[in-house]
This record gives sequence, structure tokens and C-alpha cells, in this order.
Amino acid sequence: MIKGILVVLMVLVISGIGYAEDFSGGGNSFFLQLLFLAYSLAWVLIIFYVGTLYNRQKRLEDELRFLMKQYQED
Amino acid sequence: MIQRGLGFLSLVVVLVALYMAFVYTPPDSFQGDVMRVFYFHVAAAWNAYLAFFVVFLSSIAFLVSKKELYDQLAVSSAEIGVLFTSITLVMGSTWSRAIWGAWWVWEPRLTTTLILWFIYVAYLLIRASIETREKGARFAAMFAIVGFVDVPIVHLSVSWWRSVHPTVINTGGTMAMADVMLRTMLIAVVGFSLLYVYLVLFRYRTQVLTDTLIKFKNVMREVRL
Repeated sequence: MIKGILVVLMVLVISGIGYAEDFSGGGNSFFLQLLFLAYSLAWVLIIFYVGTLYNRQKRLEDELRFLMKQYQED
Repeated sequence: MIQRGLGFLSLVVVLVALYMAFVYTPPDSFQGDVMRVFYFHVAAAWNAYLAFFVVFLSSIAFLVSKKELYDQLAVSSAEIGVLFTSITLVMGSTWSRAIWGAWWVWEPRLTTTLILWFIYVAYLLIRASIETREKGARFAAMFAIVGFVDVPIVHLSVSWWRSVHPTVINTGGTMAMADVMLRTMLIAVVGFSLLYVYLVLFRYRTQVLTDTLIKFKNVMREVRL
């Protein structure tokens, strides 16, 4: 799911940078692109971190569950 | 349940802050739309300070009490602090390109913030590289206490040295922005603070799971022997 969100976000970033160029009529486009880039990169960092953390937690829970089962069998 | 509620609340407040930053607040008379970077840049920087302050307090508490809980809290907060410092640097860098004409300028605030980022990345690397859990935690706690010295240096760098970095509060103690901008900035700070608490709880649970797993593996090894 997180990978999906990241892909959608990256598409938004690319289209948003293009949109900023049209929106400004060329005059202030570079500044708008930078503004959009700043916010997009911030969100990419946050979502990437949450995704990594979620996967790490899930893996640990699975491993712990497996070991407890093995311990009970022993 | 509380963690999920907090996550949802932080998302709502952050979305309100985004709306305020892009729609509610007018563009700056001098900087134009690029000024909008500032709201989340300051919010991220404030939370980086908060995160490292929690690391500092938790590290002292760990060295005094030797309770694992404080060490787990310190490592969780340090990781979130590095995340927020990265956001501060990335957002600041794009703003810098628009206003100063360069992605990076070696001025006091930026340089000390980069040093702060390196200090806490080193903190995380130290923890990971020392094999004995207890020894690593103790060494990292001492490193974090010394490393925190850079936080007030970052904050005061703009008044100590000749800095071109803008400030939120003027030297006379007055706010360096209009009320509407201040309101937006405060909402962004509240939103990111809630996000910080949510992320720390999330990361803390991961750390507890990691430590439990290590202990469980050791117990199983002893049973088999």
C-alpha cells in the first residue's frame, strides 16, 4: 500500500511541477516549482519513513509469533 | 487505539495547516509564493529541536536509572529527530535556491543544522555498530548528551554570527511576520508536533519488539543448550 501511495505521490510531484509552469503563465513558474518540490520531498520522506517502520514492525511481529510457536512446540 | 487516534488527529491538523499555508495565507510582499515553504520548514525545525531535547532527557534518565524504557525512548526520538532535520534541510535548500540563488550556502544556521544532522546520524550508527546492547546504549546516551550542545548553537547562530538566515522573532523581541502568517505557522507547528508524538509511539513499539525478540532468542538458545 505504501509503495502505491509513493508512486501516486511521485506522479503528483511530476504533474504538479508541470502544472505550476502552466499556472504561473511562465512568469513565476520556477518559484512555484521549487515550492511544490519542497513540500513533495517533505511528504515523500515522511511516507517513506512510515512505510519502512510499518514493514519493520510487521516483520518483527511475524518473527516473534513464529519463535513463540516454535518454543511451545519444543 | 490511542496511537491510531493520534495519527488521525495529526493528519487532520496537518491538512488544515496545508490549506492555510497554500490558500488562507496571502503571498509574501517580498518573497511571493516561495514564502509558503517557511510554514512547514519552521514546524519541522521546531520538532527536530523537541525530538533531540527528548533524546537528551531520556539519555540522562537512562544513565541515572539504567531503565531500558528510557533508552528505547531516546533511540525512537533520535530517529524521528533525524527525519525532521532532513525535512528542514530539504525544504530550506529549495527555499534557498529561490531566494539566495543557490541550493546551499555555508552560512551559520545552515552549517550548524547540517552538523546537528550528522551528530544524530552518528548517534544511530554508533548504536548499530556496537554489538553489546547495554554498552551501545550507554555509549550512545553519553554521545547524545554531548551532541545536544549543538541545538542551542543552531538556534542562537543567527545572533552570534553574521547570518543571512531569516528569523521568526526580531532582535527587539517582536514577531517578524504578520498575524495571519503567525497563525498558519502555529497550526503547522501543532500539526507536526502531533505527528512527532504519533511517530515516536510507533517507533517506540518497534524498538520494544526488537528488544523482546533479541531476549527471546537468547532464552531459546539457553533452553536448547
